[in-house]
Amino acid sequence: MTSLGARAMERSLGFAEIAERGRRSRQLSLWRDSLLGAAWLVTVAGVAFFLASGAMAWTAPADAVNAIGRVTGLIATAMILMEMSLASRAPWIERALGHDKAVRLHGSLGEPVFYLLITHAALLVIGQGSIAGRGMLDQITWYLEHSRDIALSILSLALLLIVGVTSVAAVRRRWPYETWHAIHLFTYAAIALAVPHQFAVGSTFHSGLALGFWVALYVVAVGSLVIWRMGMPLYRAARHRLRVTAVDRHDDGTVSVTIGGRNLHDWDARAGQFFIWRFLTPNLWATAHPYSLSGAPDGRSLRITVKNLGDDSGALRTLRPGVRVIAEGPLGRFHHDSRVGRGLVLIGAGVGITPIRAMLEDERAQRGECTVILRASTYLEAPLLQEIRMLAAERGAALYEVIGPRGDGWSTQDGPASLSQIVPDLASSDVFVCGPEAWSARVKADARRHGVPKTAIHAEEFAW
Amino acid sequence: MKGSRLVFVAGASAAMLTAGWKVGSTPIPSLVLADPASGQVSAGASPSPSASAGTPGPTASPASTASGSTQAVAAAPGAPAAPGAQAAPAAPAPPPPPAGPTGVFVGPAVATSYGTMQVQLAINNGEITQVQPLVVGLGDGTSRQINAGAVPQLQARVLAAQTWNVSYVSGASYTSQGILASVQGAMAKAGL
Repeated sequence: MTSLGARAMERSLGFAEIAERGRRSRQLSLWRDSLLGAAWLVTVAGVAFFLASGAMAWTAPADAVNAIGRVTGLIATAMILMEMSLASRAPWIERALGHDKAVRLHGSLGEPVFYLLITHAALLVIGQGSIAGRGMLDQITWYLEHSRDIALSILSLALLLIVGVTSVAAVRRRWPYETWHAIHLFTYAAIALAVPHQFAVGSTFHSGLALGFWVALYVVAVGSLVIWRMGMPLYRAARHRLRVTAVDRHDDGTVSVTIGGRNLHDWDARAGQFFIWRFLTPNLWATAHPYSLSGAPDGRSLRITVKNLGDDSGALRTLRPGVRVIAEGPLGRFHHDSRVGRGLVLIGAGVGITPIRAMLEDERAQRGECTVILRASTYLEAPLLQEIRMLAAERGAALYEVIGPRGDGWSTQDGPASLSQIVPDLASSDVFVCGPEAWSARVKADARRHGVPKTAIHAEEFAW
Repeated sequence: MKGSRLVFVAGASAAMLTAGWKVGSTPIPSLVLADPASGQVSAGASPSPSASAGTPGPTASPASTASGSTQAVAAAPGAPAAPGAQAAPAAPAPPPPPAGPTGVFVGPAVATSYGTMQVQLAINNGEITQVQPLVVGLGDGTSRQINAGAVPQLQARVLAAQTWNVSYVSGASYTSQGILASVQGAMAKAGL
């Protein structure tokens, strides 16, 4: 019966769709590799221009110190421009890497850049100081007195140092995200302060081709940031004029907020994606939070379902219809267009079930055999349970409610030990997993063990 | 990343670095530096402190003792025409007495982020006839490359405009600033 059903399902999938998924997967892989390759080659090009400027023709040991100082500055600049692009939410980044990966990459570059910049400054102070016969402190004083551009860059580095130290403190002491983010924004001021010395003093920035190269990099990075991070939310706010239209409090403690607006049909959101939401009430306007859509977008409204985590998410219960909303997105690669396999496994834990519900609501959930797994400690803590049961029946999906205290893996003690026990053709399925990070990791490991390729595992973790 | 793409990226990297290295290791045209106040031209990298005289000025003081000296060698602001060696004014028809200074005037050594810049000016009857670099910036390849391009342009601009107040050479703002400040100092010394 099951295998017959599976075959029928597969037939309904169609060869064209399978071919389309394969094509999409190859395209994505090419796009992602191009992006990473380009990032690498851009840095190498920066170094090549540096070499072409005659930087290695040394006449004194201090020239070597200066040269290394310069090249560290150049590499750091290339990396900073990459970080800006990664944070820009430009579609060419978001679609290729996914929002969480872009954010992680953005974050992971921060520390190396900082150390490169310290090295850059230290070596040039030593190198140029030794040529002029000045000690380090004398040289710094000399810069401050004689070169406005370098004085600004020293200020820039000092600012970065402050940002770095306070960011670490903010993370350690668990300051609110907004505090950390406000500090973090000073990085842009620091970057701006360092620009004059690059173009005025930076010997590698002076000639035609190299100058064009660096200007182009700045245009791409700053342009992406201005257009997608700043311009786009404003455009969307003006075009769609989002407002809260309904607030539903559920028995399990979650709250669903429905948001309506004009022209929503041309906001290309897909079931499973998330937005970063800002509710314009006196208490909430200053903070923005990422929440997945808990319903497939229908062109008229968007719905989110939020669990009270003791922060602002609890305050959403007090929202009233009519409150204005600003949303940034859609973000994430958690949607049907990311599928590369035949079958579909949707697995969510707790409130992580929201994007799963949205994907299940999309009619494409019935293209290929669909298994839905819902994980919660108790039935009382399983949000949207009734809706998911109804949708699963409607879509012909097998629904597993894995409820109870935690077992060894992602499941309960007496629940299914592995996805392979409940998913007919696991290895050729896409696995969409959304839930707490540690739990997600166990699901992913289970899927990998049973032959699901990395490209077919899609996880949504709310990385900022 | 897929193997073939990795190979492509590695190959492209190697090609770019090699090209950069090749371009960067072509010999750099060296600037011809003058000895301070000697009027003679030598290809040294640093000014030798030779205090040779032989300046075509009227009151050729054999000054200039140290290399970084900012002392004018032949300071003769407003001095009368030289009846001496050079005999610039023609003998027959008595011309109007030349009003401008004549001589070699060493500008101040100007420190910049890219090393010291210093020039001397040969001035004939108030007209700048030569701008000679004495000290030009740092010795690393990039600096030499930039200066080799910028200094001749600055010389030409100063000679054409007869003033220190000419536009900077783009991409060589520190060199421009230092050289022109030194020109300014030398002109001031000459009373121009």
